[in-house]
Amino acid sequence: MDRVLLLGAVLIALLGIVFVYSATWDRADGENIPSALVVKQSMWVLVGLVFLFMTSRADYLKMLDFAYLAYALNLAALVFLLLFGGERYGARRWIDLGPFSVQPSEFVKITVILALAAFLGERRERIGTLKNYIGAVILVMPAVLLIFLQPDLGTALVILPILLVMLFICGESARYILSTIALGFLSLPILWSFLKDYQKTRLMVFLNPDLDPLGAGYTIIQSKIAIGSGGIFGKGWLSGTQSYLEFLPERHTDFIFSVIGEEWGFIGALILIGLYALVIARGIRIISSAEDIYGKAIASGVVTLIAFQVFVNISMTIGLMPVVGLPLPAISYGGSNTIASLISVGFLLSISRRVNR
Amino acid sequence: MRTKIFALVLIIALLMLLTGLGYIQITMHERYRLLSEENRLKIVPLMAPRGCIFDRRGEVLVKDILSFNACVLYNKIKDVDSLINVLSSVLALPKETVRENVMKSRKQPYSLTCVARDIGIEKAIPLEEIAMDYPGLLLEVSAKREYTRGMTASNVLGYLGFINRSEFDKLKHYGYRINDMVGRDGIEKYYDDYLRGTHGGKQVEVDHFGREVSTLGFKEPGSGRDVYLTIDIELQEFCDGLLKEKRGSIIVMDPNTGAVLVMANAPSYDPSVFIDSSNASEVASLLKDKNYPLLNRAISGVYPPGSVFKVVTATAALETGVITEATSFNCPGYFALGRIVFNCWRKDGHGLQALEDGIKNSCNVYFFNLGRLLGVERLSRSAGKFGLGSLTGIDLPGENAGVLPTPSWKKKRFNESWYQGDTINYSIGQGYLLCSPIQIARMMSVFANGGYLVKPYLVSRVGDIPVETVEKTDLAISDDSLEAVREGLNKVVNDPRGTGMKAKLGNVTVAGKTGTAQTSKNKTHGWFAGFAPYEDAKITVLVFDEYGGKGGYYAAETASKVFKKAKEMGLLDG
Repeated sequence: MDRVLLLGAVLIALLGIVFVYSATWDRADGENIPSALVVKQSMWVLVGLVFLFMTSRADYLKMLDFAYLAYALNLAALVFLLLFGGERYGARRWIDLGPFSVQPSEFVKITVILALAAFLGERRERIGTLKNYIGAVILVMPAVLLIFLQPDLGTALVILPILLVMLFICGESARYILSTIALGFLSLPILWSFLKDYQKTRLMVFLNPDLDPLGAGYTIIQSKIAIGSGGIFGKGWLSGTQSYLEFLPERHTDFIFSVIGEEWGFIGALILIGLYALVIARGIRIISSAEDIYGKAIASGVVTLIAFQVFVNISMTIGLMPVVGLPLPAISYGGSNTIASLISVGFLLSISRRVNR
Repeated sequence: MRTKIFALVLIIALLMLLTGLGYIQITMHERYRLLSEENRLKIVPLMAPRGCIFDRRGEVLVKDILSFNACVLYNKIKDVDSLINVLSSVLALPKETVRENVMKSRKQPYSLTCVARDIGIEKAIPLEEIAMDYPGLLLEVSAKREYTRGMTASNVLGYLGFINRSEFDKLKHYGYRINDMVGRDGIEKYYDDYLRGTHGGKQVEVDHFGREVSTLGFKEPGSGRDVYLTIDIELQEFCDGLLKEKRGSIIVMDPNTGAVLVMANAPSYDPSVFIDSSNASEVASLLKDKNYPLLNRAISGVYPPGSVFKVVTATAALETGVITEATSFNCPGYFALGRIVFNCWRKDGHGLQALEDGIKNSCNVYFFNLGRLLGVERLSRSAGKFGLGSLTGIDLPGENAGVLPTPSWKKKRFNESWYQGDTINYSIGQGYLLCSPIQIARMMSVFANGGYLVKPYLVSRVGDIPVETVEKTDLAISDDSLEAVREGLNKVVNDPRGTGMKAKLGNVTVAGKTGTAQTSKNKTHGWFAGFAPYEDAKITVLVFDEYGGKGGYYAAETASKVFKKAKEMGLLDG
């Protein structure tokens, strides 16, 4: 088993707790009071690690037998949400289970990888044909559409690179893949008309944040100020004024990187990105050393999932990309994100275990 | 090979990320540090003024005026003690109170904390002058709602309140902010969407003296729209005066359109009490008051209508043909149904009488006979046609539909069958029937306007847009029946022995009906509903006197004062 990878993932999850603390603590009468969210996040990490170990000990080929079933159940949960889900922050993303709530769209990121891996593995003789290619695309479309309708643009978007990279690594025709990307760009104007007003505003504001400094542009401006003011060494843990003054909305979830950048500076950002880079590099090594196409497929999907979310999340906090609402894997506050991210690492470990044997 | 290409793409992405981070954290660090640490970037909210409310003649009833709050910003305070001293002397407040309020700001050192609200211009000016010498002291200017006529029409105008947490969660997508005031009742609530403006704001960079250096963004606040009422404030004030020390309602309405000229209620309240959070105890006592001053009795209170309901019984009997105008019944002073005896209000009886005299004398026995002939189904169908038991749809929150009893209603409500005795009571507006004053006003208007049920309304214009829509339903009552009942209503007031003779006026013909409704308590409600001029009615007047005794006395007398005032004001002229 790849112990370096395991160590990297655990360190990332622990850093998450440290910064959820920093993003949500309160001060009263000169004393620091941790918020209840820290306790919860620690619990999620613990649960996530248990799942990680269970997944890493299991045989991924056996788990793939249940890939379609898991994917189908996951899609059913998304349909249920669309029909009966209660709205929170203007979207139907959460299934309420009493003391906590589950975000099925976080888990669909994994089940879609597994379903696709099963599909590509079963049909390995037919790889390269147009029919197989289209089949794979059709397989993931229900997930993309259902999440897009929630609406959750970011998660819907993350499935597309996963699909393309898995197809690419498994040997599908590069011509088809490039055509798909070209087609995607050409259809952007059509997609625009399907977006909700607030999503359009976010994209417009990305082009010019000063358009609406109190509304949609506010988050980007404040996040840039937080990260920029952190400088090389940062203001120190628990000393970020931007976040403490509540200038930053969503600072424990999608914008947690702003807190890291403000308090630990460029150095802290390098450490975190370095840890992610380590996980991703080990992931790449697992892709190339995996002994079967199933392993290659799963590993490439997981690596893309992690890399894409890290890239998009950090880019949006520094204004390089529009705000699309993707979490920082295993760092942003949230049970579904944390657990799903750690399970995905568990799959990488399971594949690496088979290689070493 | 393919894995290598993938790895290369990832490395490029990583480099882009690091370049971006380096640019913002190292190259641009100084700029962002200034923006952040010196707190140079400031959001200045620009509140939108709320729309005004006018009466039908353009008199302003509600408007926004400037109000000044003395505030402190904890992280800017240099010398707490001298600040407390100067605040206490300028505001004329005890030092301990000021200290307590200033110390509250420690919890939120970077945002404004209010020490004293609405301090008045005479204290605001000296405070502004010394603000430069006491860092951390700031004067906040905000809008305050002013109700120019005090308690007049307060139940119609309504009041404002700070938005609460659960409302805020629901409303924030519509542009509400946490410290916003929202309409809590009356026009302020019903037309909140129009009266409320949209907030603006600007983001500015300030230097270390707090002067604005540049504006980074600006969003203009949009002021709320003005609302024009059909209320005539002069007549309203007159009617509010008539109700002083009383409990009840007066409604004046144009019977032809449903435009409400007066909606007076007593007891009422001062809406400005709700503006200032320091009045919490006053607000609490209003809420707890057993006389329910916050209740708009005219639309939300429901009561047995008593004899004013007899016009419905009469119309139903004529229209269904169970009687004619000339059908007579003898009144010996009581009416026997099996072993139960129902009394007429006059013990020695009214003798033999037909419709006109039945209405004039408000003879219970006459109407008991009609009720028995009609039966409950036809009676309640007719009452329903006159709009009883359903909402009038007036543009105010909190309307009560009242109760229109039917046998199936009684079964559901009490699990009891309908007795014939219930029908007998029903025919004179007693028993389970409950109506709001506005329902009775429009019921009576049917006889004033030639047979139409109108929808009452209060707002004629929002901003520049007329919103007046007259909604009339033709009740298809034959001219003969209508005329027969009208004759009776005329005699009630103008016959020297009519039950409503107190409402009579010299120079204009008033017609109407009195009512005295028994309640469960040992007191009666007085009613008068009438209109004038008889030939071509311009106004319907309804007086409801809660626990006020017989309708023939106070209620009819009050109505005559309203008619007289309306005549003087020229409201009865063509």
